[in-house]
Amino acid sequence: MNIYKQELKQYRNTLIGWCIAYICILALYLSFLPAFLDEGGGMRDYFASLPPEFMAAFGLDISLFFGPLGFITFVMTMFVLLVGIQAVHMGLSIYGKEQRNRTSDFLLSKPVKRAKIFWSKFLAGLTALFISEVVIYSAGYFIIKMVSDAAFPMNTYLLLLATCTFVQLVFFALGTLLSVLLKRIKNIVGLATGVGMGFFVIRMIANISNATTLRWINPYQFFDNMYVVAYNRYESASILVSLGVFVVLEAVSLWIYQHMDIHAV
Amino acid sequence: MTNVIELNGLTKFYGKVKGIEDVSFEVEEKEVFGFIGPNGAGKSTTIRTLLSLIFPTKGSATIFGKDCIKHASEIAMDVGYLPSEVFYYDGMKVKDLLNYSASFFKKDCKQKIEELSSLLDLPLNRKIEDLSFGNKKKVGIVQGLLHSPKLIILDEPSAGLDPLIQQTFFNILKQENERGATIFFSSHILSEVQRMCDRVAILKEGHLIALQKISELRKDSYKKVTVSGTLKEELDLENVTNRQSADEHTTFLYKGDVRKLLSTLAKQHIDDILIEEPSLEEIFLHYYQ
Repeated sequence: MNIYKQELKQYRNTLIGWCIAYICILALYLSFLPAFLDEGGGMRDYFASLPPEFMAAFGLDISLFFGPLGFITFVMTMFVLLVGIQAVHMGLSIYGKEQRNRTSDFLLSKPVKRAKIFWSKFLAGLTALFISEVVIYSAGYFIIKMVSDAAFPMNTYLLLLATCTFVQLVFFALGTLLSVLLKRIKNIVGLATGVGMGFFVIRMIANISNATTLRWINPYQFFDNMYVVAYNRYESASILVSLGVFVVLEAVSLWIYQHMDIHAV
Repeated sequence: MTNVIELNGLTKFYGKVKGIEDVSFEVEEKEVFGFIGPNGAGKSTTIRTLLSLIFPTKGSATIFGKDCIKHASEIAMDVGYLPSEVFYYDGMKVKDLLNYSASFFKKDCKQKIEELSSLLDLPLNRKIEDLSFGNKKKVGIVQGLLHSPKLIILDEPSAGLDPLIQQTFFNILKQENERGATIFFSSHILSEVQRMCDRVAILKEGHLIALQKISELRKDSYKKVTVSGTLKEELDLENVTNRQSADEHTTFLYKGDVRKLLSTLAKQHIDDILIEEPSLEEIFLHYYQ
């Protein structure tokens, strides 16, 4: 419990920063919702006039796009990049931060098993991500209510936003694995941004080229938001693949962490 | 006497690079055991394996009779470790770090923290990132000893400490030893080890090359002598080796009675004299070639 508490303390400022950024970005994006709904006809014509590749790049279907949930889906196509980067950052921090700050010797020479250190850090990371999710869900809901009186089904809204949770779990596990695989991570933020952006660009390319085979190697594409809006549920493969990748990557990371040499500084 | 530490053919390779090879020795309970060798000899590799920070390639080591890899966390309950360089969490105050460190041990460490901090004049309310290297090292000492460990492992402990604090630190170690703690003292400074330890293991290029009592080492100890002036080719002294002359300066290694050395040199035309401890490398050259 002491490591868990200490980790959360270490994350506090970063977490506050992320939450403020999420609220500001959601407020900025969602402030366009009334205009989007009021000028639905004009918008529809405008988006219909764009090359089909533009909508495809973000995985959007024009027939489902107009309406509050369609707009939220559009916002989420970009917003998910941020949650991805945050999750990789949190995962990288599991071991990378100790390694970068050279504090591994201090912690690992204490009477505590490596597995316990790993799980404490893992839980602290998940807690931080959970707090972010609560902020995102709540801020999104209240901002929409503030800027528009448009009605939308709450369960679909929650299902849509919960895709962020799955994306975060997978990227968190990916960050954890990188943190135990890479020998020296000098810039955790830079690496997290690179990984998050990299997969985002791959998703855009895959969508434009309609390369459906790439879908299951990219966490951003495990969930099809347009499918969620249309059917008000997830594809079961999306849940299975996300949770499967999460469990496998975390298990591999734990094994490596328990067997790795902690080199002298 | 019970052995607190036992190394049996301990070997560690980093890929193809040798860290240590086939190192075996024992450290007895309540002993102050010196572990010396030049930089890169494998001292830290041995210590890191004992602490289960790295895994041996071959061989094994036990502490308190328990395998140091399998029972690492159990063993750590009674081990205090001070690394050569200390790194802690920035943003934390000294007292927070010490309390965090104490939270791993199932005992009340408050009194010991206060006692050690006061002896070392450690500012408890300062942030760690604002501390000098020496003060950070003091934090290391307190966090290594706050749980009154049965075994204290020190890796180049005095680096960065001023002479007064060094003295205090060595006094603390003596008290800990009198209390019953075994001390494993790694250093490349021979005089430090000679002053503190009962026995010493000497490591060179990853191999244990000698295991001696300090009293024996002292008896055999060399002095490095540098003389400015004119010296006779043949001095009336035994055990003079490695003599080298350049301009008016002569250096040599001497083993024996220092009074005889001084009385012999007093008969020469010398302007200045410097008697110092030879480096470990020089000792290795002459002892173990």
